Amino acid sequence: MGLTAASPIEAAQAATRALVVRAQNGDGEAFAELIEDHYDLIHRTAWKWCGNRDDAEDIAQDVCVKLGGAIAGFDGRSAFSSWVYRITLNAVRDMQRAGKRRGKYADAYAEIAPEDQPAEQEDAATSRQLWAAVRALPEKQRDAVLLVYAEELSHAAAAEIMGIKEATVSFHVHEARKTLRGLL
Amino acid sequence: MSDDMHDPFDRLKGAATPAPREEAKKRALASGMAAFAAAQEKSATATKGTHWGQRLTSIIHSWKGNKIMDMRLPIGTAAVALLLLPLGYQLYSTTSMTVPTQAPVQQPVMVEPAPAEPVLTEERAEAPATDTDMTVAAPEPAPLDDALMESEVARDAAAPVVGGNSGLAKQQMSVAAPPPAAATAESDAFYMPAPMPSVVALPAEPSGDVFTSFEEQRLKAVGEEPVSTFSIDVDTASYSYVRRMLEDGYVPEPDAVRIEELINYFPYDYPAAESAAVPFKPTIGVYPTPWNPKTQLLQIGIKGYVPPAGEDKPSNLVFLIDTSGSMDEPDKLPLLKRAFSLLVDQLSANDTVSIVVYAGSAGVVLEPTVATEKARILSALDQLAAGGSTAGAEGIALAYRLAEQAKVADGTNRVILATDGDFNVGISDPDALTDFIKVKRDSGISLSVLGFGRGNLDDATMQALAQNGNGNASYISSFREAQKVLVEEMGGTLDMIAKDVKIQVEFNPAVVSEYRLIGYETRALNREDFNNDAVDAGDIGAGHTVTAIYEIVPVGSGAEMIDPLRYGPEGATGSGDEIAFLKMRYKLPEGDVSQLIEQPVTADVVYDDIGEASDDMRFAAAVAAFGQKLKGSNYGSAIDWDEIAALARSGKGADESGYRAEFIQLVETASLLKPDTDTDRCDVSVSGEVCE
Repeated sequence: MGLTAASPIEAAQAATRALVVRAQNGDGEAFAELIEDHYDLIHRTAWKWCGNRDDAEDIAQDVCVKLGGAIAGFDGRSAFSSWVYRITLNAVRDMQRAGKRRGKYADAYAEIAPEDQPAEQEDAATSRQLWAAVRALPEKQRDAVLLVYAEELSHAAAAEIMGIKEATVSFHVHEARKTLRGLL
Repeated sequence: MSDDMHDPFDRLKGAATPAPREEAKKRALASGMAAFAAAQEKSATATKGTHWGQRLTSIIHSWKGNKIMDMRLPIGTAAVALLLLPLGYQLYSTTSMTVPTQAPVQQPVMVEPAPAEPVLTEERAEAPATDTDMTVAAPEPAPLDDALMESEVARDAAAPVVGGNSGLAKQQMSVAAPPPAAATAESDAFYMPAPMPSVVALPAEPSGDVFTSFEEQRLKAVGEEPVSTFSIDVDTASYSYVRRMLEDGYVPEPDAVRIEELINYFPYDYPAAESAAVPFKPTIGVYPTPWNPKTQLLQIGIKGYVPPAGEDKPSNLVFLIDTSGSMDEPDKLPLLKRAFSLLVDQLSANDTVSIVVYAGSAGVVLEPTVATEKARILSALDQLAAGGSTAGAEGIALAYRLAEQAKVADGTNRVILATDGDFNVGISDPDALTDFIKVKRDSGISLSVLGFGRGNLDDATMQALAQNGNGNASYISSFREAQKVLVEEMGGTLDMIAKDVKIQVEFNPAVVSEYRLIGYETRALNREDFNNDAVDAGDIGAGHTVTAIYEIVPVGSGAEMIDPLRYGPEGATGSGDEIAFLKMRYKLPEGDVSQLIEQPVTADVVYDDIGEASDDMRFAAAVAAFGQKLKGSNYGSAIDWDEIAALARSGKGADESGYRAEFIQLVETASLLKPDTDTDRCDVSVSGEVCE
C-alpha cells in the first residue's frame, strides 16, 4: 500500500520528486506546492499520534518550518513521503518529551479543557480506549503500530520511516500487542 | 473483549481524522515558506562569496546525510557545554543562595587526602583544560601548604587556557577538595563537629523564577541621616509566592521575600479617611520590638478612602491574556479563566470588557463589550486555549488601542495583563516597553499585572511593568487568591484613589538614635524626591491598607549598634516631645500637583507593652519577624518560629477572611523547613565555641 502501489501513485511520486528537485534548486513555488500537497498527510499523522487538534496544528506548522530549512539537505535515498513522516514523528516526539514535565497535570487539565473532544470516528468507547492505550505505548511500539495499522503502511515502509530493520518493526508490534494484552 | 480471531489493532484502520482548519493550514504553509525563503537566502548569500566560501559550503553540503560526519553536532554541543557549564556554575555559585565558600573552615580537619582522588577524577571529565595541573596538585599530602600553593598555581595556569573554566576550577577547589582548604585551618581550635547538614540543605532549588535582587535596608544613625523616604507599595505578589513555595515544601529564595508585601497582604482595620479629597489618614503606634527588648517598632498604617457603595464609577477593562504554550497548565490558563469570570461577575452595566490574547491565536478575542453581556464575555474566555508556536507581535499595543477606543472619561481605564512570565510580545526591548507603558499611563490608561504559575515567573519584569503602569502586581497561585484579589479587593485593584504616594519620616535625634525601615528596599527614594512631583511612586486603591514599620533605637537604650561620632554635633537639640515627624505626599487621581499630610509622632502613641498594642500591630510585627527570619536577615533572626506564631496568634483578631489563621499555619510550615537552629548564631565560628 501507499509506497508500494500501482502506477498512478508512481506517477504522483515522480511529480513529487520533480518538485523536490526544483525546490532544492531554490524554486519557492515548487516548495509551496510540495508542502501544500503534504500538509494533510502531516496534519493527519500528527492528529493520530496526539489525538488533539491544537497539538496537531502546532506540530504540522513545526514540520513545515523544518521542511523549509531542511529540504536542501534531503538526499533522495528514501521516498519524500517517508522523509516527511520521519520529520513529523520526530516533531511529535520532541513535543511530547518537552511536555512530559507537565504531564502530571495532564489529567487535571483534561477535565477542564473542552479542547480534547473525542473525534467523531472514535464514537465507540472501546475504540477510544484502544486509541488512548496505543498512544500511551512506548515511542517505538506506538510508532510501529500506528504506521502499520493506522497509516496502513507495509512493514518495509514503516521500517524505512523509523530507520530500523523490517523485522524490528514486527518485533515492536508484537511487543505492543503484549503490552496491551490485558486491554484488548 | 473482542474475539481473538481478529487482530485488535485492525480497529485502528480507516480512522478518519478531522480536516485541518484553514487558518492553521495557511499559517503553517506561510511559516514553512518563510523558513524556506530564509534558508534560500542564506545559501544564496553564501554562494556570493569568494571561491573559498563556495567550496566550503559545497563540502558541508556533501557532508549532510553522511552518518560518520554527523558527529559534528555532538562535538559542537560538547564544546558549547564545556564553555557554558563552568560559566553557569560560576553564575549560580556567586548568588547569595549557595553554600558560603568559607564553609570549608568549618569542616573537620581531615588530613588523609584520600577523598580528593575520586572527586578529581570526576572533575577531569568536566574540565579537561585543568586536569593535569589539578592531579599534580592534589595527591601531595605531606606539605599541605605546598598543595595549596600549587593549586593556586594550577588555577593561574588554567585561567588563560579557557577563560570560563578557571572559575569552575576555583570553585571546585574550594568546595570539593578538603585538604588544601583545611590547610588554612591549622590551629587546633578548629577541630569542630561537621557543619549542620541543614546548612547545606538550606538553599532553595533554583526555581526558574526571576526576582530583582536587593540589599536589605540597613541600620542608619539619626545623627547622620535623620530622614527616611520611600514610596508606598500595595503589591502582595511576594506573599502569595512565598506561601506557595512553602506549601510546596521549599524555602523561597531571599530575593523573593519582600517584607513590605508580606505585611501589606493582610487587611488591617485602620480608620479610613472621611472624604475622597483627603483620601487617607495615618494611624501610628510605637511598641516594643518582639525580637529585641531594647528597641521599639514604629508602625505607620494608612487605609485608602472607600467610596460609598452606591457610587459606581465606570470602568473600561482590557484583559491582555498570555496564551502561549507554557500557559497550558491547570494553575495557569484554566485558573485564569475562572479568575476573570469572577471579576466579570463583579462588573455592572457601565463597565466594558475587552479581551486581547498574544501568542498563538494572537489578536482581539472580544471587542469592547458591556459587562452585563456576561454570556458573551464568558464564552469568549472559555474559548481561549493555550498553545501555538507563533508569538503574537503587537499584543500589548493592541490592548492599549482597545483601551483607548473604549476609554471612559471619569473612571478606570485599565489593561490587566495575565501571564506566566513570557513577555515575548513584540516590544523586545524592555526599556522601550516600560517607556511605552509610562506614556500610556500619562494618557490615563493604567496597567495591572497578574502573575500565574511557577517556574517561569518573571517577577522582576512584572514589578517593573506594574510600577510604571500605575498598577499593581499580584500573584494568583490559587482560586482562593483569585477571589481575594479580584473580588474582595477589586475596589483597591481597579479604583485608584491616590497616586504617587510617598512617605517621609524625620526622626528626632533627641529621642531616637538609630532606625531601620523594615522592607521597602525596592521602593526607597532619595530625600529630595519627596517634594519632586515628577518622581513616580506607588498608588493606592480604594480600601487598600499600607503598613510600614521602623525598628527604632531610643537614645540611651543600650541597643545602639553604631558608635557615636567623636567629633559629631554636640547632643541633640530638638524637643523631647516628638519621636519623629511623618510627612506624606500624594496626588489625587486626576491631579498633577501633590498634596501634603503631616503629623508628628508623639509619646501619646507609645505602648510600653506589646500586649497593649492593637491586634493589627502585633500581627504586623509577627509578619515582619517572619519575613526577616525567612530571608535570613541580619536583623531580628534570633526570634523563634514559635514566638512568631504565638505573636501572630495573639494578634489574630476576628480574622473573618481567615488569612491570618493561614499565616499562622505558614509559620509552622516554615519552622519545619528552616528550623530555628539554622540561624546565624554559629555561622561565624572563629571564636571556636561549640555549636549544637
